[in-house]
Amino acid sequence: MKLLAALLPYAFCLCVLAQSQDTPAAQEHPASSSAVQADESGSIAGTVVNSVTGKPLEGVHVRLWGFGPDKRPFVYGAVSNASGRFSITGVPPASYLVLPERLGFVMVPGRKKGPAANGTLQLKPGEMVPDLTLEMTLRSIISGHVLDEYGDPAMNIQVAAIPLSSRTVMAQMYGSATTDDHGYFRMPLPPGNYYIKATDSETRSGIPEIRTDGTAEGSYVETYYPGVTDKSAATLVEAKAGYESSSIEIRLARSPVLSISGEIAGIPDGVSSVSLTTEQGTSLSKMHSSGTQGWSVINGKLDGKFMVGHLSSGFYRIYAHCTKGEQPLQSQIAEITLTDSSVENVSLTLAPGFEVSGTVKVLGALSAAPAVVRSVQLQADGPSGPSYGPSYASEPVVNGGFRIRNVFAGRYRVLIEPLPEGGFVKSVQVNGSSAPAGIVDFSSGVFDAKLEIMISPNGGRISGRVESDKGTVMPVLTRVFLFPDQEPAMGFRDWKMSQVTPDGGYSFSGLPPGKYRVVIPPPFTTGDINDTLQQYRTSSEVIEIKEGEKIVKNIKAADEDGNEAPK
Amino acid sequence: MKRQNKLWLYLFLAVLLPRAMGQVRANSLQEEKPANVSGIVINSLTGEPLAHAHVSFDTFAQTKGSRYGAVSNASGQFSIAGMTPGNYHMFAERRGYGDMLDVEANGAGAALQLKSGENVKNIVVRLVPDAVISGRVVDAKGAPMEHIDVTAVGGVQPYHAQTDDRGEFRLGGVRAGRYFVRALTFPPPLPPEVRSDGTSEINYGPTYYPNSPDAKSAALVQPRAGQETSGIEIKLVPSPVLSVSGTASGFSLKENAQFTVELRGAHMRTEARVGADQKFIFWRVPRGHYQLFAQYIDFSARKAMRGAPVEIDLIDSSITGIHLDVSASFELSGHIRIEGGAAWSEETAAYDMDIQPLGLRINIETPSVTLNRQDGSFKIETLYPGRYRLVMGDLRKGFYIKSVQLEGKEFPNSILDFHGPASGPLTVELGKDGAEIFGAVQDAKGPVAGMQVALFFDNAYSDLASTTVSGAEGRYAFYGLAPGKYRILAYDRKKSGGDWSSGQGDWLSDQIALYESVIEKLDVSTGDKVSQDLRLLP
Repeated sequence: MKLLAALLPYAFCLCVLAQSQDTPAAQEHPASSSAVQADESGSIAGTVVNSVTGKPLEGVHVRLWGFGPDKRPFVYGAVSNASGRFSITGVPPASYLVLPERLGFVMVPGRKKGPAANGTLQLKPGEMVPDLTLEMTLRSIISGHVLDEYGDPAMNIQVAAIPLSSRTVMAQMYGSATTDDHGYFRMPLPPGNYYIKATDSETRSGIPEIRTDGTAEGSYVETYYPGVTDKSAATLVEAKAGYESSSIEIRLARSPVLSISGEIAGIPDGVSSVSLTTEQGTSLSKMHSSGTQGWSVINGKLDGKFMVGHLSSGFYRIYAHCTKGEQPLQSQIAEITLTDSSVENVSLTLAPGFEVSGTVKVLGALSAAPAVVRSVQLQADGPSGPSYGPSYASEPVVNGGFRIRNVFAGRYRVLIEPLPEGGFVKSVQVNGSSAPAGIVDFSSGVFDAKLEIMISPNGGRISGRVESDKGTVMPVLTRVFLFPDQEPAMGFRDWKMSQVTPDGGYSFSGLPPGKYRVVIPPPFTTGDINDTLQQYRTSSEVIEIKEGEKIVKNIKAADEDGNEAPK
Repeated sequence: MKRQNKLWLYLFLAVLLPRAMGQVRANSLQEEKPANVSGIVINSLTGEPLAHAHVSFDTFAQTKGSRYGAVSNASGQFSIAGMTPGNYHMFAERRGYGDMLDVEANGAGAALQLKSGENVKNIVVRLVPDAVISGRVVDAKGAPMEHIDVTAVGGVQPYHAQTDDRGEFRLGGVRAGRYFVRALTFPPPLPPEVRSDGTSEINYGPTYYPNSPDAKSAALVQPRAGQETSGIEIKLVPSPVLSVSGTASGFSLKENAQFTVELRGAHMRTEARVGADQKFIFWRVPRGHYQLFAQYIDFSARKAMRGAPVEIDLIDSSITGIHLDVSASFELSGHIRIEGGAAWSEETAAYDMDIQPLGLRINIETPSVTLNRQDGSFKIETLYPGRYRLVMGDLRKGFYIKSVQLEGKEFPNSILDFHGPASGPLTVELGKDGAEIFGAVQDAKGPVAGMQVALFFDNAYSDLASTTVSGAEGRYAFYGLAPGKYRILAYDRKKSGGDWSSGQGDWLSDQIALYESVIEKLDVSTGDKVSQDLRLLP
């Protein structure tokens, strides 16, 4: 955690770097490699100015962070002089991130078109960029205290600044802090409007306490300044360039400690331990944690009574499991929404799993699946997409036949591992009836289910180039998302991602027929994928594809305008 | 960090207490009168009453009604009425306070037995106030440095903070003790910067207070309970950009598989993917001691391969040309024999055998041992290249593992070190005449009881051999030791901020530097009885 926090200034680059350490043989930078001719190298010079005063900024460390073939990172740098001028020569042609750094300042993304307008720069062979203007502005400081329910300082609380506009990229680089023993936090931030959120990262477990002194157990919940749990009721804090907004005081909100209790039935004789898994989230599509606890026989037989304590309000999935010899047993999954009171008398009944078998065929082929198909998998699926929960893989597929043992009740999506190149799952039949969208519903258990899976080798293909009117497209940093054109009730499902190739291309293949949308978020977009897709969805156009159709479509990258228009 | 310790204790007790819990539940079925408890929470230093302290009593039965709690009021008083009689453990916590000193209540201590109808009053819970270390991190010119990770090293767990925009840091919630305070930058893992304007890049290495590149020449910081040690200014020491690189092999690359090298050590833990050309590189690794190993995971086949860790000391220059291998897991079988040819089954039916991975703590299957107590044969499964310690439990007094041999090769200190897959048989010989080390732990005033004593093998890794606690007159003793070289040290658990153990090598070398002046070195032979008194740090 700490390491991650330390890396936050570079958070937006992390996704890239996670891969860039991978680089084989990144010993030499391209300038010295034989692949780049000396006369191909270019140069970049320019001025760093204070965007408010227009005056030159001295002592700014300007970095060009480039990515060669294989995502190999390399860095060129310079420091601006008293007139704000910097100069870098001998720079090989490539895509670069332009990063000016000076303590107390932040970069202002360019409002104009032209090189480095969006913080990226594409240098052509031999190109000289003589006068690049980089704008920086003074940062702002937001500081204050986090207090507990008694007004005592709360230590080790994570504080985050959430920009009003999710497009304020730079905020994600700096906007977090941890409170000290005085409950004090301090965050340097780019100017803008922010919600300030405090989170207690300590988790507790165990059964509820009995208290007779009039106090009540509680757990801290995410609290927005000044002390509310609902972001829409929070007060915005304006961070002005060069100013400190101090005395931001957050009083941590508490929620009562709740529990789920009940009984596990069907524990076979001779079984000496039973486990219970509890998954927690806000809804079925947003499950975020999971924990397992177990009980063992102490004297005699397990009574099967269970209690899961220290829960906060939210959505829970809970199920019991054990093994008898080699045979796994599992209960049904109880889905429980806790609001303000505990839930008792949940009954979970252990039962053996069932077997799913069937065949995989390829459309047009007479019998068996191609040799490439190794296994058929059942992946837990909720109403809005892949869900928390188990997935099952078949034994190796032989002549198109497969068998999956010990499957337990649930809703599953049928996956083929791997699909033949360009192919898609065209249909799935369960005991003769069709399973729409390849989702099989075994919620109430099915014995001896027989699946007939049909693969079409003729998936659709959408490909093209990524265009942008501002600056250039950074291949390594730009991602293209494709998803079916449906109103996302509970989040997007079935989205696919393609990284832009060095020549600016993207492609998706193996698409089932249907309507799709393609969006290209700005390179530094982070956060929840559902939010990102929702944000750019409406401005994208719908592409309809038929079976086997190949569509070429150039797509414009969404712009980061950097403006923060209040809603 | 401190809270995690508590949680750990909690879990530990949860494991230890199932028997007690069975009894409680059996008892609770009978006609019993409820019990009451009450008391006060105070600051252990000042004696002031503490409000808002959370006190809890738990039987760990994990059933409804097995856990009680209270919060102290403005005068520090707490009370719980109507408790089911039973064996409880008491905990107390309050922001700004750490350990609970011994609890005074019917002499029962933190473990409390509540009898039917009992009314336990006047429990005094003394909480030790936390210490604070605060200061600033500056660059070579004295300018404040932002976003620098500052760590106090010395206790069972390090404490972390980050410098703010003024270069300031504040480590709160620290347990009193002796620490090194270390500042570390985390630049993104990029190659050295190329410049053409006459300036040059300044890269900073790990720096120990006040301005030392390693713990050896660093100054100690000794925060006291309830006090702030301020003005700790760390001046960062420049360092060249260091890299660690090499090649990795031993697999056939397939799709849906991942081949990575992990680097972990004093200052960081990170991963690099191995390319199709089998090369890997880590950029901007802070100087220090590291372990590297390669791991190959085939997601389709759900199989993992792992290589033996390689140890490196990165000091002033980059390390290149490291070669790493991976191999599949293997198993070894073997047998135990007893010195002098004594029959196995007669005396050894209770013996137990275990194998403990050393150094790296990797989330990968750990090996398991199956011992046949009838004939002393055993099998060890799921081994990967690396280091492991073989241990025997419940041996007769004086017995020890005299030798561990694989195909004629001896593994000293019963530490197995596999550089690749091995095949057995493994021969373990038990000696009857183990050495003893004994003596008294003393401070300036004389013998001290209740002090931790740690015995280390004097090898490159300082592997922990055994631990004990000094008793009456400060006496301690280790029995059944194999002949060899050891290092031994006594420390006060309360002042050191926690326990030592091997395998936590991340800061072990720093800890050893802290205790250098009182560590005793010993060389024992078969059957030796060595007397060695130990000094505590003042």
